[in-house]
Amino acid sequence: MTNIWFVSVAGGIGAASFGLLYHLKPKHLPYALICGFITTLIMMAGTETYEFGNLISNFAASFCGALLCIFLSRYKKAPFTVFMVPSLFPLVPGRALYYSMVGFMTHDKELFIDNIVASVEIAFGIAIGIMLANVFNVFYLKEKKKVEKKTKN
Amino acid sequence: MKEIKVDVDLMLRTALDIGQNLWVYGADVRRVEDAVSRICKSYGVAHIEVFCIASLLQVSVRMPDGTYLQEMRRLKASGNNMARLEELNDISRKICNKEITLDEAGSRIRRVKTIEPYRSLYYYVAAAFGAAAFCFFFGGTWHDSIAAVIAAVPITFFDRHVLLKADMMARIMLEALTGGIFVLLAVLCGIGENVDLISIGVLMLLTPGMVFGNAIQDFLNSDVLAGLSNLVKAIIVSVMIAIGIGASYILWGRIV
Repeated sequence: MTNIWFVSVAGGIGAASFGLLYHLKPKHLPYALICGFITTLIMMAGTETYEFGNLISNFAASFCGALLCIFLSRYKKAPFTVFMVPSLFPLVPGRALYYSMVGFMTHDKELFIDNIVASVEIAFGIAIGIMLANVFNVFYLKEKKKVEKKTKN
Repeated sequence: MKEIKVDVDLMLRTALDIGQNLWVYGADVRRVEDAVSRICKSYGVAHIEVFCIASLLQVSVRMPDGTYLQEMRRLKASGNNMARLEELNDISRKICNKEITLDEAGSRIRRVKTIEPYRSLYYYVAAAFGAAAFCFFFGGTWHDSIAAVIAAVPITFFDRHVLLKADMMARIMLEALTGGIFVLLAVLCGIGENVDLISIGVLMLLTPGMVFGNAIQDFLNSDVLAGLSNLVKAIIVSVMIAIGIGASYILWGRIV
């Protein structure tokens, strides 16, 4: 369990570092660190502790991360992308992509296919998570508008 | 009548400038289309069509008086610059809320290029921390993380100073090659142990990042063209990294 916390801190530091590399404004860096930590923690808990597999773990992490980023984008009045790109960076299938590249270079078909499948699984998990968070956001905005109209009337 | 036409032209140009720059600084296709569409709608267009793919942004507008304009922009390679993206978003929002005129927006867009939130040294520090953190994240030891720092610095140097004008794909391949050589050097000097884990940490600096995820998202949104172009980009970048890192291993095998 301790390992997960250490790894999550590493994920948070990685997210903030990539935020800086992507020219994220200094005032947003702490948010990238926190979001990176949370997404990594959820992903690690899913894969290591509960053994849900890549798809579900990355979906849960990206969904929660994206919701957090949507909230931050409203709170800080900045585009969603600004928070999302560094925050979800720890979920990028770096290991799977690397080993699929190794498989490709060494003509090891099994290694290549296994890791490509894992990369696609992770990418699907991230994409579906972001999409559903956006759907939630649209519903929330619609409801908010309805409430505002009612209070005006 | 003439005055309206000039306004439409300026509005369209400003919207396209914002859309084009949003793309260059890392926004996705939907955000570009949304921003252009919102700006034009705020000026009361009767009908608007925006079409954006990885290499093209095309907009046609029809005003209530019948004025019709169409313009396109060629989109070139994009990167990630969140500070500039945020500034462009702010300009776009202020145009829509009529807080600034189109002329003011134009001069602010021209100034966007000069926004640089950090000094050069910070990028080296960030690359070093990023590579070390991801090396640890993927299971490396503390020693491996130090080796990742050693390999991340020359990659950043090449990226920021040497290969600035090189083609994007050639740049990624050469940086992967440099990274691979420095990883192997660090391991040979006894600083790190796990070549693969150090390499993964270092190569995170070059990986297509969210492009792969964005491609899937585009497919899920039925935007097949944008999804395909993102997917192809991600695959080509991955292959370039593979060639670069593979070449460094082969080169190393011949030398040592």
